[in-house]
Amino acid sequence: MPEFDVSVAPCEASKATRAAGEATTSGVRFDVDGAQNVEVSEKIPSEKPLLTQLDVMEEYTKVHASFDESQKEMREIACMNVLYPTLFRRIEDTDLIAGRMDFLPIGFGCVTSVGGVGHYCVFNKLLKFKGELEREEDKQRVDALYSYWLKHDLKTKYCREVLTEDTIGRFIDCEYPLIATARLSGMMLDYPKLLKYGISGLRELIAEKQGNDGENSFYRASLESLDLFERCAEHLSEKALAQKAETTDGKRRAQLQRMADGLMKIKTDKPETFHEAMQLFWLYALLAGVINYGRLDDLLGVYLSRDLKEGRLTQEETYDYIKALWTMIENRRTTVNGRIIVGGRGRKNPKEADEFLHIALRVARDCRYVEPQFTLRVDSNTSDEIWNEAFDALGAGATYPTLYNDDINIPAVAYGMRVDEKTAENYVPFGCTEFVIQGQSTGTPNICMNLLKLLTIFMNGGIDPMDGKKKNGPVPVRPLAEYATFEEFYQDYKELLDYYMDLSVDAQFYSYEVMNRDVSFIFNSILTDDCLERGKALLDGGVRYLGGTNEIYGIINASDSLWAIKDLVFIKKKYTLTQIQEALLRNFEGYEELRKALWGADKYGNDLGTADGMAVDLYEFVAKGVRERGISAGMQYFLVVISNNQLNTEWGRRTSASPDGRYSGMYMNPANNPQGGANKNGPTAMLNSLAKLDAKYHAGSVQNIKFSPDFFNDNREMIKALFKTYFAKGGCHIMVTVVGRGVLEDAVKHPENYKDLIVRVSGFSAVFVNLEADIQQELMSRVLYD
Amino acid sequence: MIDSMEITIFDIQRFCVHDGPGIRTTVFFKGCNLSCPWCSNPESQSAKPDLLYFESKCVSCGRCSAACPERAIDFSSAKPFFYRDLCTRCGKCAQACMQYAIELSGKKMTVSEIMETVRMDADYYRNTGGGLTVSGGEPLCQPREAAALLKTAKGGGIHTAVETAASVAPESFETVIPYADLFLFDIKHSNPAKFKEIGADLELIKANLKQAVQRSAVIARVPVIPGFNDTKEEIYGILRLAKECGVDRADLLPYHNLGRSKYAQLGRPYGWRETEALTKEELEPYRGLGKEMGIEVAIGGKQPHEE
Repeated sequence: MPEFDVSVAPCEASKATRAAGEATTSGVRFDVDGAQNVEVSEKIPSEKPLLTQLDVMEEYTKVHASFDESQKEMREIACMNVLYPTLFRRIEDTDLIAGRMDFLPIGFGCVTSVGGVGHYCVFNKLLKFKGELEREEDKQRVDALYSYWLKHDLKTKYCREVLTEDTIGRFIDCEYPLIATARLSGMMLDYPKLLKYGISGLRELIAEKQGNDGENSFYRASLESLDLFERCAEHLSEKALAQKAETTDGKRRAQLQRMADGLMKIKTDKPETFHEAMQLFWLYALLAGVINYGRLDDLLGVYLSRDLKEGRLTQEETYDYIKALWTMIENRRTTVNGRIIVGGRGRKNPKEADEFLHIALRVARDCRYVEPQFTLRVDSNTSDEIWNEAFDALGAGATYPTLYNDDINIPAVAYGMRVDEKTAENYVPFGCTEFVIQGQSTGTPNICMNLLKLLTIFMNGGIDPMDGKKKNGPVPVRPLAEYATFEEFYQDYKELLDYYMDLSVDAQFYSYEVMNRDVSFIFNSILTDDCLERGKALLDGGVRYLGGTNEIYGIINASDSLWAIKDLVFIKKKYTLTQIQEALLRNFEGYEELRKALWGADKYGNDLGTADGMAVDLYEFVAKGVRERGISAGMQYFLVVISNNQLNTEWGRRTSASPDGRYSGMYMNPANNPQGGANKNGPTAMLNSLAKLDAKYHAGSVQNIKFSPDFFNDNREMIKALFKTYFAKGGCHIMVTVVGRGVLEDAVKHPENYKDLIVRVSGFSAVFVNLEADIQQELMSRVLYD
Repeated sequence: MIDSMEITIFDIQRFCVHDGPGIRTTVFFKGCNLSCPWCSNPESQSAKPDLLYFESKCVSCGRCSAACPERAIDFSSAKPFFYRDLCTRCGKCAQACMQYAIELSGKKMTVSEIMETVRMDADYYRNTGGGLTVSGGEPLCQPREAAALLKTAKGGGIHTAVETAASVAPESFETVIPYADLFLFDIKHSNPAKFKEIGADLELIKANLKQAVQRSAVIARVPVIPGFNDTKEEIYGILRLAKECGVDRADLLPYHNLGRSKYAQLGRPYGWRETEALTKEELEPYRGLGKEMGIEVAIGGKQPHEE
């Protein structure tokens, strides 16, 4: 994940609003007003006047209330008809294709990042909206909506049925060791099918299927959805023409005319040009409510190549198009999504796709947006030209492309998801890294588990030291003094993990049931195999591979803790478990020597068999445990992901001191990377450690590496070889950050957090943190010494 | 047998990219027979362990003083004072310090222990033409040990390089030649009197250089030190000397003062009067000088294709 400028604390935010609205059922209270996802980027406000927004939400609610669950397909499309095309925004001056939309606190969607899930109400946003209204009577209208949706918001319903007092919390309540939600994240649709058939072609396909099954309401709703698509295309075409009339700029007039014409064309017909193909794809993605976009190089490459060859487009115009698309994606501000994938195996038209890829890499270099998360798949056959272009972008300070290794990931996906390698070639990472098979699977991460918090709970007799609450469910716990061997101790921790893994698979699976009860995600279903074939919506038995993911956190802190305990308590017998636990409960106050010994124990990330071995063992226990439970539950796959966002920090704040020497409330390790300051043997050692986790048991795991700009740019060949070697050794991914000045300044202020900063001068032995500040500064500016 | 031979080192640094070709692991030997006042690794000079004190980490808790059996740490003022002549390098103060403000630099490791670390990056060496570099200090102050390490590495198919000032007896130098694929051969001057200032002997160096050139690859390394050898005439002299001995590539390493804080940590004054670092650009003109002489000059110890 990229680094963000703005830091928001969703946990804290949810507490602040806790008083406002609480829902209870069967004794479990949870905060419906809490922020429902980590929203780091500020959203662009709606352009509609407040009262218009209120009218739309009221109308939406009225339509929603006029159906019941048995008519969910017709309800869905009827509700969508209220929203669109009304919620389309003005075309911005930088846009070369049309399609920007607003989201209201009430509406329809599939993810929490834009709007909400299913028929949703985002209560905290609705309250904020209410606060902006002036007239009391309008506020009362909002209150009426609020109480209606308390009963009908999909996610609230899920929470009511699934959350518990002590084990399963809501997204994102950091008091719990496990949090669960209902959402449909990461859908990457079968856009090749869309472009191949066009809207009319899809209609024919559906009509043909419907012929056998005239009563099928999924097909009926699908056709109505395409009607809606057409109305939206028409609406945007009119908008383009209207905006054309407002300007005298000849170039802009031509662009708007092209937009208007393109929209009228793709309203029904299949696209013939790059412009039309991009427009069709984009408008459909918007209406489907998806925020990850799949393998765009292979999708658009053939259109681009033809346009270039036949003189309809120049390289520079293409650059502008891609940049405009980048900007539109950035403006959606989904923070941790916006995936565009290029490169890699299994593309149908690799030569043409590469034409898109080359230009996109230039755009990535120049734009340096947080989104799209521009993703480059490579393998041992990737050309030097592509590597060099990727390094140009990274060296310029863009955090993209982020690199995925097909040589490892394709066989890993084939095993993990139980598909053949041909199918696995269409894996695509979304969100923070979770893989899906484009157009064929769901992979939404509706569960997050904190392995470290569970360890602290386990060691404290089932009570979370953070808040004194019992969180071990029915799993028995023993006094620490009873453990005579490390194996017994570890085994009992695993039993608590087992219990939570059971909870996780049930909660994930149930999220599909709850969503399917209410909605069909029709736009998504139309472009996901095998919904049309089977006449069934996505979660109603339509999707070919019903998968899911489980985000695990704190894994390295937990495994380092286990190693420290094994080493100091059971091998060296320097301390007892009870002593360590006492020290943890006092956050090491008065136990400084013990803390130093714990922190001094071997740590993952240094290429040491000891700590790395423990990490591999814990990883495989959890990853296999989750996977096997998914298969038993009847899913195609349920796999852990080890991703990196701000949750490791948020959850760390509510996780007490741990035996790896980590203080209470301190951040936890990011992704599967070492705890900050724990890896001291340089990048080869760290990458060797990372490569030890077998990719076949997870559906995505993020590895970060940072360089100073001068070091990166002056040593490109070595760094390229570093990555290629790491990939050959089993590395599945790498995200490169060439740190900017701000980070360097921070490193001087807090050198203890930058023990892993790579500093090399010929013949000079240097440990970064041991140098004086001015010398650190000099080293990092590195203009002089490389 | 040689596996259990012990070497006194002060660091093993992986992913080095300036100490020979490719990605390398540099093993820094402790102990040096020269005394260059600009040395950037002053903790490398003594063959004995050194006590390093990091003042900025110290919270003046006094634990080190209490732990010292020699009563060599005085706490009568705000920060500790170390009577280094009393210190036996037992390391008890470092153990007692909770802030990591005291470290002992220098330890003995066996050849096989060192090789365990060196081998971990074998794949990176293979893909980049990299390998092991022994550096220091002066690795040839422990010639048998250096030879043992190099022999083991080379025997395992790992490329070996030796960074040395080579002011040692030819017999000592001879021990490593068969196991060194490459010498990074320090030539700091061409004037014997200047060498004397730092305790070196030009005649020994020349004799060893000639041997090295005949039997291994050699890159001359010239630390360009303001006030010692940074005039055009001096650099010219050094390059000519290298050329005469048969060297055809020289790396000019611009003086840097990054070792400054290490002097403070050792409780010593910084040894060199000049403190301004040189820039790469300042050395650019010397490339041409080398070219005229038929010697390839690189700046900063990097691969030619990286420049």
